[in-house]
Amino acid sequence: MKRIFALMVVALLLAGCAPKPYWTLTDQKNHTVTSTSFEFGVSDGWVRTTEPRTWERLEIDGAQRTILLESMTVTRDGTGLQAMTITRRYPDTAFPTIKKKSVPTQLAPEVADLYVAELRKRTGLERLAVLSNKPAKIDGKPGFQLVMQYKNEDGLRIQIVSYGFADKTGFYTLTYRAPYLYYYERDLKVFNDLVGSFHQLKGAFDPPPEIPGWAKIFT
Amino acid sequence: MSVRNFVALAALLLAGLLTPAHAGDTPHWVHYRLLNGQAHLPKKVVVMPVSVRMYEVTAGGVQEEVPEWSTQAEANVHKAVSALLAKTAGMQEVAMPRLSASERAIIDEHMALYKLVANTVPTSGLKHKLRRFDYGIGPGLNTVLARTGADAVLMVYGNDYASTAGRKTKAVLGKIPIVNIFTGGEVELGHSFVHLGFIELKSGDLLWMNSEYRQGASDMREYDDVEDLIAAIFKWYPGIERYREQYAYDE
Amino acid sequence: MPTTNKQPLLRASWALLLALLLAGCATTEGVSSFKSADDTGNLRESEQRLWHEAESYDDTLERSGQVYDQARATAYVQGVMDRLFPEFKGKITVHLYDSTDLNAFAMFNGSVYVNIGMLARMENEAQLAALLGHEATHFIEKHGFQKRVSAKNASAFAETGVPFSRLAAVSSISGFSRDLEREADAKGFERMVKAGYDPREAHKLFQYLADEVQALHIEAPYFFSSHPDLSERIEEYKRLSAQYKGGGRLETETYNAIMAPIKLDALRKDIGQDRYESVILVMEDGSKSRYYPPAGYYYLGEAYTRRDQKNDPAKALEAWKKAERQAPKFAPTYMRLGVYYMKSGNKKLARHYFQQYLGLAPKDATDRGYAQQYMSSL
Repeated sequence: MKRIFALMVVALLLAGCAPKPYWTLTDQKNHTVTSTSFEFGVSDGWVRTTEPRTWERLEIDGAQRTILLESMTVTRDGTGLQAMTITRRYPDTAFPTIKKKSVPTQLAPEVADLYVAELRKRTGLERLAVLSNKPAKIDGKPGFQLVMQYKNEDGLRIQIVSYGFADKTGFYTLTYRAPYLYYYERDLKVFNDLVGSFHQLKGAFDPPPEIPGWAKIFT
Repeated sequence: MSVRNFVALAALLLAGLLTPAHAGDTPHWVHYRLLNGQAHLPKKVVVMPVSVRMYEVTAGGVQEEVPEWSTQAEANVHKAVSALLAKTAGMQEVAMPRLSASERAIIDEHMALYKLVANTVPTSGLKHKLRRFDYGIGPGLNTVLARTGADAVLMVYGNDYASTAGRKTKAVLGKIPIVNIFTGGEVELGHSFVHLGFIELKSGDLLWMNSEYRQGASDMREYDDVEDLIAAIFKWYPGIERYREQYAYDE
Repeated sequence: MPTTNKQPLLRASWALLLALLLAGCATTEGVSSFKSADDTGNLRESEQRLWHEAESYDDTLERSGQVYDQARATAYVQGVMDRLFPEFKGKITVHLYDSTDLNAFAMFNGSVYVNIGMLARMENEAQLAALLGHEATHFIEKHGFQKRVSAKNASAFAETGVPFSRLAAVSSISGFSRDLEREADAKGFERMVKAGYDPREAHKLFQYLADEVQALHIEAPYFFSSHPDLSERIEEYKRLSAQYKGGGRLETETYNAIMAPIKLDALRKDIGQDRYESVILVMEDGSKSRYYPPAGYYYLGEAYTRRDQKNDPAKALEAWKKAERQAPKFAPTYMRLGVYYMKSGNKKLARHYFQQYLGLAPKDATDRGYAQQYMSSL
């Protein structure tokens, strides 16, 4: 009997240590998403990543590198279909593949050009076309709004709208990607509301984190 | 099972360490509008251009499409699908009309979007979407196909991989201990895959979809094999109550 | 206890596998080169598969927006190809490929793709003829098929797991064997001479490209970097052309008039992908930049800005000024000069240049909003 009881306790404790789910469904109680450097609002029925992503692996000059960032993703139907991504990149690794930094004195179109050049280094985006590049304000800060498009292998047009700005804490982008057909216009308002709700937090001014020890092996 | 073991098992279940059945057990998907009676099952259906690619796979894993095989597989699939639609109560196949170049471009892009949707659904990791399945491709196809009088289209695509004799031998030898050290271990033999999905023309909603994947002996150049594959997919049609019991429960 | 002797079983299994693999081995026996367009209708089953894959790849490239849409230049390049290979007119089809990589490739079905980067680098029609002669020879001699056969046989004992369509149907992206490349060089050169082009241009093309490969540390995939060695090929072309007196078609003016928009677009795309070194290499060298439209100096200025080394800001300004003088209707130059003077505090000049930009730029120009914003803040 004691053994059974012990087993039940262990089982319940293990259940309590279960990892957090990757996605969190948004409802009335949790519209606002708070990360370290920023917060923003998400519409009902959409999901967002429960925790921010804090690093990514990129191929730079033929070698794999670990780059720190802070990124959260929002989707309704799955990121294969549509994805809204809010990302902060640290100044020294703002444009890692083209090896450029972000500087607060850069003008918005200059930052936009670097961002597009960086995107074009990614597989599948080599022929990314810029449809428009306009000044925009994000959380009161001067920035850019880029509308871009590319075609996937099946000839499906994928449209991307990115808002971005650079300040002394880094380079921020709010990006929405979806098939141009049906999905892009359908969910654009949700994205525009998200952009309108975006707000930088005090945490943005804390020193950037260290690369985790295990990731240093691969860096 | 002893009382002790039973209680231990109950404890594990309570802790949620055993997961309930998931989408992998019931492969079909049903739009929520069918579940709550807001949509009706397709009646007049245009079968979209069938796309089936058939490949030959060598012992070394080199895959090469064989165009004649693909043509034959496509013809078999279309024939089997048409036969099944004819047998299904309340359903009728409507011929695809002749299309202009611009209409063809609209069709092609919608088919590309459908492929993206169909590939995203099973891999999205979003369990709540199973309960309220509401995917679609928008009403754009209706601009081209409304003139047919159809209320739905059927998307059909698939592929088939047939192994060469050398590959089959390698597979057999790969299962023999010690011998397989020299032949390079186990290799995967061919497989067949077909996907079907009904799109309601007016709304663009993906009303129902299902796929069948078979490893080994099936050959889509053989009509009987294809007929069997299609029947296996349609066995789940429409499966509304089955889907409701599996996923659309209230929590 | 009886012992089992596994050796006979091993030997039998190995022999059986070997026999089956060898029986299934692909072969080029009986496969000869195409003699004319009509020959392409007489394909063996194995060749038909490769032809079909090439056609599928054509469709994918077209569908996914990788084909560069410039009707005039495409028709011109096709015309050169048809002059070189009149017996294949209608079968060898030229497409421009939207990439600034220095590359070109031929497929088993006679589709020949020439990267716009390659077109931008060339100076005249004779160099184009050298390139097209080489690529079309890969098609005529069925090098793609030979490559497929040898790769299939090589993989027989190893699991590659690689979908083959991209490797073999697309023949020269990853290069062919030394012998096949030599054959393409020699036979392509013959065609070039027969069509009346100046044979000395063939090795010049390779020389310019060798310079660029070295200066920019370019790696494969690259047209001329596969077997045989690039310098060896330059020497071979020199040897071949030494047999001929100088002279022959160049069509420099025609070539550059038709390619002008492509050359400018290639510079724009290079900047857009941060390949500023390529732009500097070409536009800093007078012997190369003379073949580019003068608006190219705008992109030179952009390249210096991206490189951002000591003295680059001054060099950028000089390049933009040159673009202003030599290409006064090229709107982006004025936007850039406006930004330059705004940053350096010269409001009057900044306003002047922004106004020039707004007057020249189309209504949907991407930078228009910024120019208007900056104007209102000055």
